[in-house]
Amino acid sequence: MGAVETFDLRREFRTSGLRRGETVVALQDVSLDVEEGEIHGLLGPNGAGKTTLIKILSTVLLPTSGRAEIFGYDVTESTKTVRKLFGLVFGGDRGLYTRLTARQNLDYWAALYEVPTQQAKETVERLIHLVGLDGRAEDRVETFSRGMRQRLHLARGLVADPPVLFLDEPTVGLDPVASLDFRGMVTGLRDEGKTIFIATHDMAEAEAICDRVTLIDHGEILATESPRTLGAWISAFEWVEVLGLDIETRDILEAVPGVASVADQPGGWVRFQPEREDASAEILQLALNHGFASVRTGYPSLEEVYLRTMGDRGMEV
Amino acid sequence: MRAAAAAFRMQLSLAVRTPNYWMVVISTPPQVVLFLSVVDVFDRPDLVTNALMAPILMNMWSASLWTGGAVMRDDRWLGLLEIHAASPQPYGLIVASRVAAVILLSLLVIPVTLLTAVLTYGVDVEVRNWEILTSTLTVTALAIVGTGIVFSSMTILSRAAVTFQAAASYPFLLLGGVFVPLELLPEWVRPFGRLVFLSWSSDLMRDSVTELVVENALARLAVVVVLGLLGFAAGLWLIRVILDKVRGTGEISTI
Repeated sequence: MGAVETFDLRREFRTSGLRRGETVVALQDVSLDVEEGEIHGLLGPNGAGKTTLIKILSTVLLPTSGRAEIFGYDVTESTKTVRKLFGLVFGGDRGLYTRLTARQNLDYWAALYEVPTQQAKETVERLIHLVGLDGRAEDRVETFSRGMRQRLHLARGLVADPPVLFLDEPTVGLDPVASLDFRGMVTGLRDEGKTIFIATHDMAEAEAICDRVTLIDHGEILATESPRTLGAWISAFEWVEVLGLDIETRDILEAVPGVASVADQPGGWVRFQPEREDASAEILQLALNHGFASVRTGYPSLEEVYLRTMGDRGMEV
Repeated sequence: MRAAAAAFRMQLSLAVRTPNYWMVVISTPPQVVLFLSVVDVFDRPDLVTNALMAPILMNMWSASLWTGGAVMRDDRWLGLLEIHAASPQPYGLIVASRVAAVILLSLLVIPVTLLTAVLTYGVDVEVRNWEILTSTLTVTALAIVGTGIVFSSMTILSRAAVTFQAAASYPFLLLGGVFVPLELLPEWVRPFGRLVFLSWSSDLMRDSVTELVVENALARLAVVVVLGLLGFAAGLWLIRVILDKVRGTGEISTI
């Protein structure tokens, strides 16, 4: 039995507005298995169905059909039991009483989860320390930075010491340092035995912290892969852009084995899109050797990876 | 009960830091002056009690409608409704406790009203029956909490809830005989007014100020309690039904 399991989970919504009454399928027969003690990423672009799945698992949305279980308890039938088994953490500014202090927020949620009074005091103190808010516990949340709020979100999700944590885009809007910091805390929780199910559209984040990653798009699960495979996809499609190339050097770089396409970009940049892992390093080296020092690299968007990998290989990845 | 107490405390902490929650207290003195000036201009000292009861009940009612309604609406906007819905506690209990905290704060309109009356028109209020007055105020405050839960739940159902709250306020205050006693309203209106607990409360409050022995006081208090409990039950039921509904439709969040 996995910590979190879904079986042919389907969710449809009725549209409103001009297209009122149409049915939109947000999740299509989603079956997945999150093992106890793993960090499982749910990776997909905006609108892929990640938040819908988290909402169903966290009992705030009912599935149209299929079922979902947390430690064997059905989320629609054993709702009360299930609600004690998970913590829910959003990303962004939502989910906190900003006029209250960090400690008041945590005290409140500890009471709602019926954590015994003395234990609640100790837990809140420990969590404030864990998320690095020791000096700011008595300050109002509205004075916190985005990163501090996100750490407080995490502490709130942990206040009842649940075995499962659902994180919905927890690092959205955070700067790189704060993201790194947050990811460190999440992996630390996995080491304590928590099962973490994290929805994200950030491939690098999924690669950095997840034990397994489920790719989802248009409400369908495309694949469940290890981050190693994901990493290979990312590096295989790392693009290189060079500024102010002359035609001769452009031809040389284009001839590098593994270059899939060359395209002019705004501002005089030329983008070389490889389809092989080692090609980007060779392009970079050649550009530098020919005296073009203004170069930059980047990773493809999730949509581009979908297009180039799953688009070609369909469900067989 | 610990969760309810925590919600109550949390709302008090929130309210003391949020100017919106003080609006009912701030708006009380002008209303007192307005009502007393009417009494003064028409030289009707017998209506002074009405002029003082009106702003008290009106502002407690407003606190229930506006700030009570804001509890659920704000939770939804802040993404907290989902987190509450995912918690093991019934959200109705949380809303009830939080509306109760708001109503407790709104009781401040009583000293503000009396102080304003003394300072502006030198009114000397003599209460003949304190027991009935305090009992009536207590059960009225509890009944108003029930109403607040009902209106709070409606903010989830309709984006026009604020307009609805504004529109609903005056008919209830009128039927509640808050300023004009029910017996002075057209005869056909009175049966409807008797369904609104405010009409019983306002009569009792006026009588407790002017009469040493209030007729049928216990029975009349019981009516306020029953009508208040009905509001309570309806509010808690509505919240449960509405949350079940939005869990189905997906309208629980604003994004």
